[in-house]
Amino acid sequence: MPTSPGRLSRHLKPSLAAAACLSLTLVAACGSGGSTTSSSSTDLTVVHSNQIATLDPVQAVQADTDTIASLIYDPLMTYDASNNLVGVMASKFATEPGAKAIDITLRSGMTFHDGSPVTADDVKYTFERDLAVNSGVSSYLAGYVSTTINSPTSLTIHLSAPNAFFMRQLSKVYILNSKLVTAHEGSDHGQGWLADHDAGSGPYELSGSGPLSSVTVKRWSKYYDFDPTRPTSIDDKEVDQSSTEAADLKSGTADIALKLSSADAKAVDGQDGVKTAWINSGLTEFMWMNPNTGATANPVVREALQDAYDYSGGLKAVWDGKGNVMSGILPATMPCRPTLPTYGQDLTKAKALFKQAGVTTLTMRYQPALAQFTQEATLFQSNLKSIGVDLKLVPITFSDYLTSLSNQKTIPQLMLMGDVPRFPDTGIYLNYVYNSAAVGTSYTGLSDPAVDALLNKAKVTADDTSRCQLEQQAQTLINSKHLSVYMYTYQQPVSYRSGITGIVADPNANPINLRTVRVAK
Amino acid sequence: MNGIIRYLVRRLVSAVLTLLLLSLVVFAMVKVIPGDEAHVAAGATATPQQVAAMRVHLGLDKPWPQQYLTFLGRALHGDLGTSISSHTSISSGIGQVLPETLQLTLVALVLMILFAVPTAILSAFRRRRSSDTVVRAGVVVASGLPTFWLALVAQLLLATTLKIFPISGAFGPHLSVPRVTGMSIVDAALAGSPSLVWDGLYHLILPATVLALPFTAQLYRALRTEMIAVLDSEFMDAVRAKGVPTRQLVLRHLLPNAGGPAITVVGATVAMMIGSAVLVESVFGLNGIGAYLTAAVANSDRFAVIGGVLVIGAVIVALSLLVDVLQLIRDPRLRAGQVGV
Repeated sequence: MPTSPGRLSRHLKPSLAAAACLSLTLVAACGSGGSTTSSSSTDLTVVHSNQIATLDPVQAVQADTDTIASLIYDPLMTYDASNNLVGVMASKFATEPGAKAIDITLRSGMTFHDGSPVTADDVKYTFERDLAVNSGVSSYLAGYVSTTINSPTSLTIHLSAPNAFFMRQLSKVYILNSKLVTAHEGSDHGQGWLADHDAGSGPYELSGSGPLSSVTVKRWSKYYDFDPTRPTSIDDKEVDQSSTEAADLKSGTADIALKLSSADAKAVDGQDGVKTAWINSGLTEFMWMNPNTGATANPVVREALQDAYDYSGGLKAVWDGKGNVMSGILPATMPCRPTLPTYGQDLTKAKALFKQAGVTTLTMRYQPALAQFTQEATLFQSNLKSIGVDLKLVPITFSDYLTSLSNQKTIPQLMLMGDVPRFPDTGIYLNYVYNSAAVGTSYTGLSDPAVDALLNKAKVTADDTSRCQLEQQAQTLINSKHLSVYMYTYQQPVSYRSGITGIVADPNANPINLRTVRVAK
Repeated sequence: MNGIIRYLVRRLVSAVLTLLLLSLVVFAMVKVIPGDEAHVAAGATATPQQVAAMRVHLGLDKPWPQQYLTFLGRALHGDLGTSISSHTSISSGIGQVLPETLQLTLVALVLMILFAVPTAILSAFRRRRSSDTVVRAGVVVASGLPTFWLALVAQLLLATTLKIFPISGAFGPHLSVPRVTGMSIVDAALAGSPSLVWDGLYHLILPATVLALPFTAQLYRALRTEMIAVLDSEFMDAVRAKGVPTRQLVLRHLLPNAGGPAITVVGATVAMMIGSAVLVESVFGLNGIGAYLTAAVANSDRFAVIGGVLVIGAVIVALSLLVDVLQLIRDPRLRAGQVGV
């Protein structure tokens, strides 16, 4: 029987219906099934939004690399919760008087994951390999000359000049299994191989290799400091969207979310067995000023800028009040701080100071990619507008900003940015940021002989107490120079499922160190 | 035959020129974006001396044209350079993530065809009836849905609230397979684990559906229009007059004659799907080329951006070439045109 254009035969209808519904059936069938995993409650899944570029510990300056590298590798020493330097691979360590050499004794009986013993040769190899890579943590090894091997477990590091900070920067230098890396060195000092392979001795072993968007480490039973309450495994999974991280957490497919937005962290807190901890890891907002050229060369203008910002309003509006307005030039997480007044807004004084200086326009650089920076920049613009000063906001990329730091004349007049000290050591941070010799890392380009004298003296002072006194004097002096609008430290949320402990601020990590995480059996 | 070979050679040369032009444009664009690759590579704590050494190491001290030619020379040997954030091979980095994107796109493509072809046939046969009107209204809505929004809503509704689908990832928690091809489902099959194949499919079905939906609407529209034109043609009247059963009419006469434009649409769709996959991967925690490129941009890893864009460009150019060849095979009139008959 002929078929009219508008009619489907009864033979074809079922075929079409079947084909059309095949995918629906597939969807429905899948939906009704799915995997049921019976993983142990001591296996954790950690989700975060940033991609890990490499697991090579030479790049541990990148927080995402450090998150996993700190589980797989051990440093010689680290900082405890009170910011004291304590041994990890090193059982003894001391800077020699004169601060030109460091003596280290390794813990006996330590082995790498492949069973080979940790020796002084591995330490020497690591230093020299990291310096050859000339990137990442190699900047922490500046001034290294050589290592003398005294015995398989003891060594002496020699420096080109006295440097009491050298040893205190070794907490981010993870020691490599030299035999293993040498075997895979290739032409790139083993960077390609170490990107997704394990050459460490830490509490966890890398499980498999592949894309770093999903990394699994398993607890290593032969670790010198084995603790059965550590999670048996940790899956580190990249999930770009905060909302997806929150959903994973609520559904139980994730146990810890490291990069939730404040809104999502508050929303999941207390729901479905999820808690949120607000971690103060020393993240601080600054508006750095260039004291060398332009309007901000005038200290009156710099003081006026400090008086103009609405500190408590900014903290509340931008960071939901989770943090503290600064008192002094360093975050409260840092040791060895003198007592300095808390910053606050005083528009009347600011207006008078601007009038005295005759300044009505200023320019500030900021990174609009971060919504919080835009909020803070426009708030400051509004604060200044209310007292008759126009603030022009100009975007800048962070790498361009870093490039501008190589010359006092190219450093922006004002730059809004966040920063966190890389080590809980006041002297190291002050030298990075305020020493005139620190070209490329000094945010202000300050060149002040009195500040330099104090910081240089601290650098060669091996005694902790004497060094702290010098650093406190330097802070008081720097504070009087009004080099930045020292805004506030703010807290970062870390949400986690109940039964997990150890979600705490750690001086070695940002926001937390997964080494401290423990689970209830 | 010579004409066909000449045509294919012309298309190949055109594809190579397209890729060359793409590489030049992307390279130039990346170069004019502010930022210093050497500083990114050396790290935020690097001294000016370290940055200068890194600049020389990466060849960034050379003039732009020389940098481009060096890059091109390496790319021709399959080496897209070294990432300035991971300090590892970009070719290998992309090789690790591209299969996941291709798998997502392929599954989405299959779903798209499974939805679009039957509904287009249904609409063509029942045109201007209520079922056709309902389908067309649905298509208008589907084609206008932004992929990112659709992904978020589908995830919230079907995964988080109703718990029909998993929320994110390629497999369930603490499940993995040995990496062979980089495609999770294929690797699960190669590992001989039906439960993992099922789990991989279960994780992929919602993102693939979200990715497919807007493109299904495009394919449906193209097919419906073409099928109506074919059904109204005189040769179809002749076919009907011969008493050919409907199933045979559809399979042997309607689909082959209406399929030409659809093949072109499918080819173009795959290219657009790879672009949209960036958003879908981001929401569903899948780690394909989209996640790679997003991270490369976030890390100012310009060489990785160039590599990623070039690889996607190469896939699209290859698909375009494949579509042309398929059309040539499918349609004798085109072959005749190419050989100048």
